[in-house]
Amino acid sequence: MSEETKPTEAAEESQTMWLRSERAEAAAPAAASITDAPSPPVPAPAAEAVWAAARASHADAPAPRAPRPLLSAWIDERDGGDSTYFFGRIIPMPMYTVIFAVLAVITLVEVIISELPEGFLGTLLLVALSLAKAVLVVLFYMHLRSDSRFFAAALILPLIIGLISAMFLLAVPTTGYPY
Amino acid sequence: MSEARLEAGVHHAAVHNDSLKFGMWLFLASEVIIFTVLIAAYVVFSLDNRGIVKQIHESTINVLGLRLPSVFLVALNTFFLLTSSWTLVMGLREAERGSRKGLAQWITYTAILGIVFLVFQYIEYGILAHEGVVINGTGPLAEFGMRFYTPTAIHGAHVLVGVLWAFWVIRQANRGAYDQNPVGVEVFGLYWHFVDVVWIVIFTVVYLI
Repeated sequence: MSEETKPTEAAEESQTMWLRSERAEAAAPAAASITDAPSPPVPAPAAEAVWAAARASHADAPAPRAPRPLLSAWIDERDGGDSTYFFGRIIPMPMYTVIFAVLAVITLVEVIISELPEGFLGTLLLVALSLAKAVLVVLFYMHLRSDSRFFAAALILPLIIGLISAMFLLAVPTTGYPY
Repeated sequence: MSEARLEAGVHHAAVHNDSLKFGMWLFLASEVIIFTVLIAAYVVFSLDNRGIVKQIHESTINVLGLRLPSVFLVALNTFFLLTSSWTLVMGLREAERGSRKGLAQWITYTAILGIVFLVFQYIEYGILAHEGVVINGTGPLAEFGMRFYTPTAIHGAHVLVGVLWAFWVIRQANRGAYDQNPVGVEVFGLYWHFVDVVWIVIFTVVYLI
């Protein structure tokens, strides 16, 4: 009997868990019990049927993107992706296009700042703007705001190691070049 | 019970997709180290030799008879690469909606913009080499050139690989390989967007600061 209920739970779970690693891990015991159960004399579903069901469950999944980072509360898809909630306004464009427009505007601002007389504030602004651009691409185009946090670790850990190494490099006394 | 097996298959599909994406993220982790070191080497040189960096930044280029700041060409190239990232995610959007034609069309734009980026980089290298910024030799311009060409050229090589991958994705899209599961497009997207992020950093650190 328990074998009958577990697959149902797994089915409900999969409605909201498509492409979500941490949730997939939670469903793993149920899936494992299915695998361990004695195989009934029913042929395994064709790969196409599995993918079709997977796509269908993905399409029906309610609110697949939980607003974890603050940015996703400010910039989010609306109407199935045809319009975007952007800082309180509804823009009739896909979220990807809105992000692209923001990236283009930031790049233009960066170029203008770089043509102004050099200064500490300008350098700080340029670094902040480029970081903002990188974060936007990683969160929205690389889907890090909705994907597993393990993916973020794969990006952040080597970055920290690399930056610490760079700090050591900067600490090496230099004689400079004679010009 | 067959329905249960189908659901198990759905779960397996999700794990399969996440595994593929995590594999790409691990590869990108190694790329982060490579580019961090290359960019750090440039930053150290740049901090110690502000004069030579400013001299190169203040140089101008001739575009259709107009004298423009040299950053103009690179800013245009940055815009092309940003646009290519946008066309790629629009392609992924089409794939998720089941449009094979739309996917192939948007990824074609990505490939074209990648090629345009490489052509502009080739032109830029030509201009810089003409001004004496070389990768071997002696003197301040060669010292700069070594630190400048290494990260930018390795990045260019990544764009070239990305363009070839884009053509592969277009071919697979036309064959219907992403009809049921577009994760292949998403994994390619991770690579291409990462190359874009690296350029965002290089553009600011090498060309603007």
